[in-house]
Amino acid sequence: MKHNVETILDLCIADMRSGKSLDAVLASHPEFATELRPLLEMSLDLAQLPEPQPSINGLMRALAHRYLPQRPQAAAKRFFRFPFYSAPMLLRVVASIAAIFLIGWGVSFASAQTVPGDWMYPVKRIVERVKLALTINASNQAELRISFSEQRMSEAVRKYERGEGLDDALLRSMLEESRLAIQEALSLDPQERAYMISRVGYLSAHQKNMIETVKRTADATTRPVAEAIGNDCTQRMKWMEGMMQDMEMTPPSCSGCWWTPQSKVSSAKEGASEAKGSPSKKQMQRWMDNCPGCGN
Amino acid sequence: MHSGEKPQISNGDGSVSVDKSHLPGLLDRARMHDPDALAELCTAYYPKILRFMRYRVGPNEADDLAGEVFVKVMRSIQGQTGSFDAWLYRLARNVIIDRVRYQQARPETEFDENMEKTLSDGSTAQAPAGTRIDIENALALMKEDHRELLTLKFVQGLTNDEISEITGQNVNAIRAMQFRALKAMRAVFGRKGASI
Repeated sequence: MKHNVETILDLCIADMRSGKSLDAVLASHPEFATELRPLLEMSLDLAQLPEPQPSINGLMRALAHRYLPQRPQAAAKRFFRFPFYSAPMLLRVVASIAAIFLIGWGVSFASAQTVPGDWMYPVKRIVERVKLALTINASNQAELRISFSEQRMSEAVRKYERGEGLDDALLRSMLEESRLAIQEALSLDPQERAYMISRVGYLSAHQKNMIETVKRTADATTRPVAEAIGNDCTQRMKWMEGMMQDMEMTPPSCSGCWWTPQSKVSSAKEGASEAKGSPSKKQMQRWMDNCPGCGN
Repeated sequence: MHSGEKPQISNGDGSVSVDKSHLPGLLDRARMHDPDALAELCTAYYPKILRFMRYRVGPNEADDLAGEVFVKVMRSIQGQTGSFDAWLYRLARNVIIDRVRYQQARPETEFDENMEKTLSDGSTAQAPAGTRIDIENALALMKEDHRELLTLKFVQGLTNDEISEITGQNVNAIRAMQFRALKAMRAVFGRKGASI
């Protein structure tokens, strides 16, 4: 008898999953209706438990706890010789995770679309830090900084387009990342340095144009932030122009242009190749000491 | 990169499902540590495992334990065979078991009294008289094996066959335990919304 009840309960659950109502399934088994009704109601209640708020903080904590503090010095040396594949297993796992979220999620759909306030946004930021920590080469670090600066700008634009206003902190982070890209470039050889400066120059021009565009459409609430950050971008652009002229490089002259990935690289290469002299480290450091909006 | 493929289906609740026909290829790529494939798996399954953890161990630890599961996924995906869903849930079960063992081995650690009761003597704890409890609290008071089955079957919506693959129990045993678990749950919960 008991076995029958168990089997019938299971059949009722299957029927309800296929779309039948509670009353309809019980009508098929009237002799068990009284006993099964509360159990089936309970199963429905369980199925309706709310979804937890999606948060991936636990994953990032687990990664950080397990891997990041354990990066051995010796591994870092091997890492330098063979940037990825000679890293020990755990570092490779971390690098894979970084790639998952930075490249995978980013390119596919999720990370590229996330902005502050989204549940996956912390992942993107933590992964950026992981990625940077695992990058030894200064040139690659500068490239990463440039991509972070572009990311911050995209996020700010996306937030603005969503009607969430201009995120001052994001835009300042955008400026800071581009400054850090130049900072990283200090230790590069003169030719690479010129290339990085040129890239950041074009990036700054693009960012200034973007803010100018936003300013034109900003409402009364957003306008003060747009004005303030617009001034900082203008100062930063003038600073970049001054630095490039000082280094006998051609500053970007693409007022109003909207940058595409291909054109930015080719423009930067052209800018770098047009440099008559090689920017000296000392000369560049002087400019860095007077970077506008860098807390100097 | 495999940007041309669109294997994921949005469920409208923030989670994403992997198209079943696409899953074998995705797993092959994930086993080679292809970042895109791993990212797709994480994106699709993380919310599911987080939900499982939420109702197995409670809200305080769900995040961390779900994170642990995916760290294990990354470390052991190369050896994954058979049903990925079942394998993933088995990893999740092992993470919970490890956590319980760890807590039992460290008596100074704050330990959930209800879990201790249900794990040590197998009996179902009773809610204090006069306490108005909701369905989630009632679930938390279930015996460990009952809670696991109720979570897998009704919260996660798995079939008996799928649960069998995860827990190793045969389908008849699952059917019998389902009956007992729902009865016990009903006994703890009492009449819906009532004070007990």
